[in-house]
Amino acid sequence: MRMDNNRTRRRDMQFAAFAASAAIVTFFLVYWFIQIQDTREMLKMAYG
Amino acid sequence: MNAAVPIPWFRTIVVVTVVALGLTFAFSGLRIYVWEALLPFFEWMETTWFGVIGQTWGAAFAVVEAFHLLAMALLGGAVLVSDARLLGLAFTELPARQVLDPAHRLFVLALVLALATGVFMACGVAIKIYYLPVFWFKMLALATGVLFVFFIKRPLLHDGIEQLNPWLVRLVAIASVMLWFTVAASGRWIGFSG
Repeated sequence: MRMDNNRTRRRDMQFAAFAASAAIVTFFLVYWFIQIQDTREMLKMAYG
Repeated sequence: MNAAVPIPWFRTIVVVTVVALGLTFAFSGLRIYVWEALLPFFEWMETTWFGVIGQTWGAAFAVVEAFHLLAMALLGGAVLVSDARLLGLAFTELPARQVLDPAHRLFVLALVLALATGVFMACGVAIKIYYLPVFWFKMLALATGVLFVFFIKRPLLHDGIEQLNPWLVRLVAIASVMLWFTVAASGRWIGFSG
């Protein structure tokens, strides 16, 4: 019973870490991609 | 007496709920409502002692900012050292715990210093930062970073990294680097805005 609990706790920890990390990486990749695109567009407008 | 029964999949449920609530908040009118409601608080910040000193005594602001930047450098160093070890890029000759524990102690110290100096600086330029979208993005990244470190990363690595999936460890390290890079980059962005 205790071993099952420990295994579930460890799997929960790993799944939570995977979900949080994947969400963070995806979110910040999209954010920085949009920022870089916006900057490129502004530079194009300013200097052609 | 019944012993407390731990909720199965507690952390996963919390993570999914926080992400769902965050997305709902970001893409709904609630975000604008909260932003508008916070204006009086930012106006009050400028009237505090910190705000008055920050606005009228440039040297004090500069000294505090120097400590803020030093704290960020220390924090960035601690993050890079621990995440480089997790990614297997550096300090691989040392056991992970021997690198991660001192780096975490340094991280906590740097975080406390950065938060303390950051509050002072925010009071000095409260109205300016209130209207800067990048300030709010920095606060989002900072809050996410703190939650990520204390609720996800530390508990995950507590029992050692040997029995964890190496790809999970690498993913956590990459997420950590991205988070703190965003905190630092958006912080500098505030300095060059307005």
